[in-house]
Amino acid sequence: MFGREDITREILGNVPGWVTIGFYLLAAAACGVAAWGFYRRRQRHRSGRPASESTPRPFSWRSLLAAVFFQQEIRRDRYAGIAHLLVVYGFLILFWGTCLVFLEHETPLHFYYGWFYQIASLLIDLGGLAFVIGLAMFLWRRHAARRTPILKEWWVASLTWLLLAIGVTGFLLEGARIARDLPAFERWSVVGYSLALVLRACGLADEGSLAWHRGLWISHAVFCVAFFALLPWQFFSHMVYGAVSLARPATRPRGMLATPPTDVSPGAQTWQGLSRLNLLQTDACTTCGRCVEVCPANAAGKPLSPREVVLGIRGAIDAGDHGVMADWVRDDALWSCTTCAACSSVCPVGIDIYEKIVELRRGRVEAGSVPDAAEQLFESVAEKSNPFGRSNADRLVWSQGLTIPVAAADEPIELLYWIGCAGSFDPDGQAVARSMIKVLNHLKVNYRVLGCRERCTGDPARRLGEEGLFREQAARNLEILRRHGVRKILTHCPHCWNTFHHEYPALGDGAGRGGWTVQHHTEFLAEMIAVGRLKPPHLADERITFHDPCYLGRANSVTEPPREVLQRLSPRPIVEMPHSRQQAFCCGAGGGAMWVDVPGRERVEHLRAKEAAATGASVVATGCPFCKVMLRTGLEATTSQPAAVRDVSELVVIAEGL
Amino acid sequence: MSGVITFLASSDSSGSPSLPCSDREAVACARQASPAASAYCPPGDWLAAEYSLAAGCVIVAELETTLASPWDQAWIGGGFLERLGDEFAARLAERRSATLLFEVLSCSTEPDGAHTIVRDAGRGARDEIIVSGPVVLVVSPLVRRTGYVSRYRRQQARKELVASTAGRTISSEPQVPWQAARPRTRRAARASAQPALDDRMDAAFGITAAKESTAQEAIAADPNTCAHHLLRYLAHHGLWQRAPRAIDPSTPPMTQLVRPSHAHSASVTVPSSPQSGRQPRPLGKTPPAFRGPRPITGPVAAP
Repeated sequence: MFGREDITREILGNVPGWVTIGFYLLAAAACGVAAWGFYRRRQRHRSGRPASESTPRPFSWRSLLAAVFFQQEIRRDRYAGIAHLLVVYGFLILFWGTCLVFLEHETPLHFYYGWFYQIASLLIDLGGLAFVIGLAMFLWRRHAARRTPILKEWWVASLTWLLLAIGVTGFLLEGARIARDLPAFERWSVVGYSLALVLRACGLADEGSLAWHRGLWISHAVFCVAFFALLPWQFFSHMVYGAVSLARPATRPRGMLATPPTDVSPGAQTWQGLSRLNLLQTDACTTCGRCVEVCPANAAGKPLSPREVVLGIRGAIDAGDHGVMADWVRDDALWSCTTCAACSSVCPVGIDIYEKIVELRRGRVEAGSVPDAAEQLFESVAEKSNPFGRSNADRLVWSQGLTIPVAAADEPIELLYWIGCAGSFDPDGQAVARSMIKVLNHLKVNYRVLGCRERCTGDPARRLGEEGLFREQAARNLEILRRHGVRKILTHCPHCWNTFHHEYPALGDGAGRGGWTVQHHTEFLAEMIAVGRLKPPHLADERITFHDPCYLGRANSVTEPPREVLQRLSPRPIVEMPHSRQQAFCCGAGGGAMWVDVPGRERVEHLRAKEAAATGASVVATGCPFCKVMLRTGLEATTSQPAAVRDVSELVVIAEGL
Repeated sequence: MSGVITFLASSDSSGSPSLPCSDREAVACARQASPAASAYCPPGDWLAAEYSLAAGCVIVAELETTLASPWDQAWIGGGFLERLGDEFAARLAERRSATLLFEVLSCSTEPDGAHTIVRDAGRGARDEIIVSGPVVLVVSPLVRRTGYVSRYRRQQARKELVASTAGRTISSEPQVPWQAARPRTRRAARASAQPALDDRMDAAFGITAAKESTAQEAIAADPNTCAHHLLRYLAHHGLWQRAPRAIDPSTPPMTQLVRPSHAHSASVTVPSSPQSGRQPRPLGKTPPAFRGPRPITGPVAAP
C-alpha cells in the first residue's frame, strides 16, 4: 500500500527484551503516578466554590483549538510566541511519531514503510528540530538575556534542560541507528542522517557503538518517563491547566466582576473561598511575568506583583492548610491594585488575576482588615452616599448659572444624564458635567438629572471588596431608576457606565435588569457629530493626544468614538501614546486607589503623565473625570509647562463656543 | 477575663443615623478583650444592635435589662454618652467600684489581671495608667480604628434581629432617610465643645461647682453631704471599698438577644453572689434628685 516494504526501520532492535518490558512497566507506573497527581490536584481545585451563575464560563472547543493550535494568546510576545510555537508543534509531532512506532510494533497494524515511512521520518525530524530550537530559545532567554520578566527558578530551568535532553538524545539515537547501515532511503530523516554521517566520520558507528546506543536509549526512555511522571507537580503542567483555562474563556466583559451569591460570605479569606476555576488557573501560571510588565502599580514601585498574587494562592493550595490568605498574599500588595485589568488582558494562559485580587480583597473586608482610608470611604458611601465625604445635598452646588432639568419625584425619564460623584464633588469632574449640560441644552435634548437623589453606584466600594455596600447602593439606585422608568442613561464616568451597563444587570433575582441602555458621553458626542447635529469647527492648531480610561478602553473596548470626536476637532492627526487603546497605561485612580493610596517608589499618574508629555501634545484629552484629575496633577508635578488636560466634552464646548 | 461589656449608641449628629467611630471601637475593643463580650444599646437603637451582632458580640441587649454577670471591663462609646450623659459612666463605675477613665485609646490586660490603659491627655499627649480591678473605659474619638465590620455581616445581623424580634416594629431595610435638597446648617463640631478631660471627670461626679466657687473652702455643705461626697471620692480612687448591696428581688426580667452557641448561663439563672446582682439604674428610672450633679451646698435627699 505504501510502496516498498524494505523501506522501513528496525524498532527496538538493539534493546533487550527485559529492557523493553521494564520500560513499559515504568511507563505504566509513570502514567499511574501522573494520573494520581492530577487527581489529587483536581480534588484541591474542587475544594473551591462553584462558579458564579452570573458569569458562566462554559467549555469551548473553539477556544481550546485557537489556544493550542493557533497559540493566539502567547503570540503577543513575538519572541516567546515563535519559541512556544516551535516547542508545541515539535512536541506534538514527536508524540505522533512515537505513537506510530508503538502502533507498528505492538499492534497487528502494518503501515510504517515505504513512502509513508519516509514522509513521516521527514516530519518527525523537522518536528524534533523545531522542538530543540524552541527550547534553546527559551533557555537562552532564561540564562543569557539581560532583561526578562520571567521568574528565574532553578527547577524550571532544570526541567527545560530535561526536555532539551530528551530531544537531543532522540536525535543521537536516530543517528546511531542510521549510522550502522546508512541506507539511502534514510536521507528523508534529514537530521538523523546528518548525525549518522558525523558519527561514522568519528568512528562511532561500529559494533562497539551498540553499547552506547543502548545506554542512550535507556537514558532517553528514563527522561521521558520521568517527565511524564512529574508532570502534575512541575512547571509543564501548564500544558494541561493552561489549555483548560483557555478553553473556558470569560463570557463577561473584562471590566465586569463576577457577582457572588448572597447566601455565603463574599470573598476568600482562605484559598477554599476562591472559585474552582480560579484555583485551577493558579496551576496554569507559567511565571512568564507579562502581568508584572504591564502592571501600573508595579511600575510605580508599589508592593504589588500580580504574579506573586497568583503564586501566593498556589503556595497556599500546595501547603494544603486552611490558613488565611493574609499569610500568603500581602495586604499592601492587594490594596495597591488599581483594577485596571491589564494583567488579565495579557496573561497567555487566561488567568483572571484581577478577579482573584478582588476576591481576596473581599475576604479582607469580611475579616475586618482594611486600610483606614478604605474604611472611611465605606463609611462615607454608606452614610453620605458618595465617597468624597460631602453632603449629598451639595450634588448640584456646581450648577449655578446653568439650566438643569431636575426630575420631579416619580417623573418618567426618557434620558437620564447621570452626573456621578466625581462630576458632583470634584472640581475637574464638575467642569466635565458643566460642559455636558451645555452640550445637552444646546442640542435641546430631552433629558433629566436626579440631582440630590443620585447616590454613588457603589463602584469604588465594590472594587475595594465591600460587596455588601455595593449591593445596598445598587438596591437604592435601582429603586430610583425603576420609579422613574428610565429608558436610557448617559454618563461621562466610565466607572458608572460600566456599573450600569454590566454590573447592575448581573445582580441576582433580575433586580438589575431594568431594560435601560447606557451610553458613554464620548459615544453620544460621536453620534451627534455623525448625524450632523453637532458640527464643531476645528480648534486652534493644537496637538492632541488621548488617554484611554481603563474602564472604557481595555475593559469595554470603547476606543474609537472619543478619537472620532477629537479628530473632528483637531486639524492634525491625533498623537497616540506608546500605550493606548486596550493597552493603555492606567492613570492610577481606579480600584479605589483615588482614596486608598499605597506609597511606591513613584506615583502611577506621574508615569502616565511623562508618557503623555513625551508625545509633545499641547492638549491631553480623556473621557473620565478621575483620569482627568490624575493626569492634571501628574503633568503639573512632572513638567514645567504642563499640557492642558481636558475632557472630550470640554473641547467640544470650546470649539462650539458654548 | 470574667466579663467584658460594652455600651454603644447611634448618633444623628451628621444628619443621618450613624455609629460614631468611638462606639464602633468600643465594640471592637470589648471583643478584643473577650470574644464573649456583651453589648448594650439604648432601647430601639437597632443600628447599634445590628452593629454589635455583626461585630460578634455574644449578647446584645437593650439598656433596660439586667447586666449579665460580673464584669471586669466596661467599654463605653462616645455616642452612647452623648445620649445618656457622662453621669452614666460614673454611676456604672460606682456600682462596681470600678475605676472610671475617659478618653481611652487602648487597654491591654496583663497576666496578673492588671490593665495597662493609654488615654489621650490632649494636644497629642498620652497617659499610660496601670489599674487593677474593674474598669469603666470611655473611648476617645481619636481612638485608632481596628477591625472593620462589613455591610454583609451587618445585613446578616439585621436579618437575625428581624427574626428574633417578631412583632416589634423594625424595618428589614437599612434606615437611611432621604436627604432634603437644601443644604443643612452644620452643627458645631463636638470636639470644640468638648470640655477638658478633668472637667468631664469632675462633672460626672458632680463636683464641677467646686471649681467655680471662689470661696476658700472647696465644699461648703452640711456634714452629711460632705461625708457623702468624701466617700464617693475615696471609693472612686480605690481608697475605700463599698459594701456589696443585696439583690433587689423586684428586678424586671431581661429582654435581650443571646446567641445560642455562646449563651451565658448566668443570663438565665439567679446570680449566685450578691455582687453580681447589682445593676446600674437606667437613667429614666432615677429619681430627679439623683439626676445630674448633686448640689454641693444644701440638703441632699436620702438614697
